[in-house]
Amino acid sequence: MSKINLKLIISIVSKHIKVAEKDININSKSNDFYRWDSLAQVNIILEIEKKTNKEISTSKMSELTSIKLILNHLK
Amino acid sequence: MLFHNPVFLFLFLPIVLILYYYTYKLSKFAHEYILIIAGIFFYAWWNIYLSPIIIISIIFNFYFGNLIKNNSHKNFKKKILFFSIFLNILFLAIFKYTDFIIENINYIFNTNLDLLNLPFPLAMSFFTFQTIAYLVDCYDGNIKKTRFTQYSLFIIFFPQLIAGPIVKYNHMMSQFDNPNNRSINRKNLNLGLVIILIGLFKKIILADNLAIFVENGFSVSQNLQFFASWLTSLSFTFQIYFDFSGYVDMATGIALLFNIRLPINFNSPYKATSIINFWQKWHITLGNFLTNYIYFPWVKSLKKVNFLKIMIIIFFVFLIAGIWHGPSWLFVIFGALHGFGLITNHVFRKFFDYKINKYITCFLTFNYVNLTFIFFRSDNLTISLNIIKGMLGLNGFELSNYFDDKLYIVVILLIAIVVVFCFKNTSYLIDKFNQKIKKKIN
Repeated sequence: MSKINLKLIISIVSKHIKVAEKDININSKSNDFYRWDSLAQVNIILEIEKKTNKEISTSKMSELTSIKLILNHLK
Repeated sequence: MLFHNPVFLFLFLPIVLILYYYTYKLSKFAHEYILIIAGIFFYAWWNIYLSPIIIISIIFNFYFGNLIKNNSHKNFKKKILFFSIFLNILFLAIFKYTDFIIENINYIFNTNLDLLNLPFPLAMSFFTFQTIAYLVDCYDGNIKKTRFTQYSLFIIFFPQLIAGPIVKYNHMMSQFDNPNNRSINRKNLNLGLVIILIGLFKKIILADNLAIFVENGFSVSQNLQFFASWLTSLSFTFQIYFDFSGYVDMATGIALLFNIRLPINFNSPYKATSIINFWQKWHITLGNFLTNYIYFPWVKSLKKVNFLKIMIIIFFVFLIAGIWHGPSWLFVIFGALHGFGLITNHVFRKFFDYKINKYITCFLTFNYVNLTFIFFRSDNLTISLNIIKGMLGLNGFELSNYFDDKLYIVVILLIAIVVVFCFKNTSYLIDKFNQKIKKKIN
């Protein structure tokens, strides 16, 4: 199983919301970025699933709206 | 029985509150029984003969939920999940859409089938979605043990039964099961009463007055000129917001009297800066349902995901959202226009890398939403097109004597505009109130 770390999550989120990695941290939330919408969310979750080999249930997808929540869920 | 009915406010609600707070010593679960009986009574008040429908739905779906939870075979669970969802949608479709389907068959095939004129059970659209969410959560393992009374209470809790918000099982049960919530909390009581008053103001003073003007305007749409058309469409846009959000405020306030916090459903939607943003602020719990239980599963079911496919899915999700509001092609047009708006926003975000001034985007979004609500309100397409023609000035610009006895509506509309654009919303007030309490405690 791939290693789940903060850097990986930030890099995935950064790619899909088009914000530099340096501007995202563990406390970042979807509300902080206008491009982190439902389209970005679905792309973020799909890529996380792919990179971590962990399936995230669809009913949980919309709840993972911050870096911290994503990390906690994957732990 | 509606929330602003004096029988509800001055008789039903006080009796239920007294029983709720003074019977908890009798049994650990007395509060559940009280609220379930109150819910059934509240529902039956509207039509006693249709109330068995919600009870049958509760019994069957509780059974399906248990079947899903207590089975370890994933394939079997999946089959039960799909079957139970299918049954729920079929149940909804029979009552809500049968005549709509017959009308369309008659139109297309030139037949003369009789309409069934089935009555539509109150709140069925809401409790069907809530039930589907429950079943999916059972399948995903988010819900462990459920007692029958817990599930019944989740569906029939009367403050949110008729007009939402669409709540999730775990959100509600954690509160119902909390023993601290069974004793009177004065702060919640005060806050709840204030929110009920805000809701009553929105509903009775603003929405109901605007409704008279709207009714008048839409009934003479062919005669409406520029100013009257704009005032009519704007009045409806504000009426629907104050009607719906006022009712949800009352639901939130009433639930708070029982120490139950309902999720936020409106967050200043007319201040939205895009249609994407609008659906993050308007009927939030419906948006969450569509996202969680239709949009995400649909996207995940694709073998290969790309931008075009997602846009097509978004469009279809909004067609579903449209038809969910009622059995009419005008609701489909409403959904399609919102789907189109969302796609336009996503395309812009993907291919254009600059931000437009937020006041301009807010103005554009509000006017687009205003346009879509014309279809939402009209009885037929001709009325919608008449009003749009009027708004474009194609029917003339005269003020005429149309406004002679309706000047008060301009005042109500101005109040509505000020309330929407200059004031904070109810959820902000609740948050602020909670922060103050926390500060005092610390």
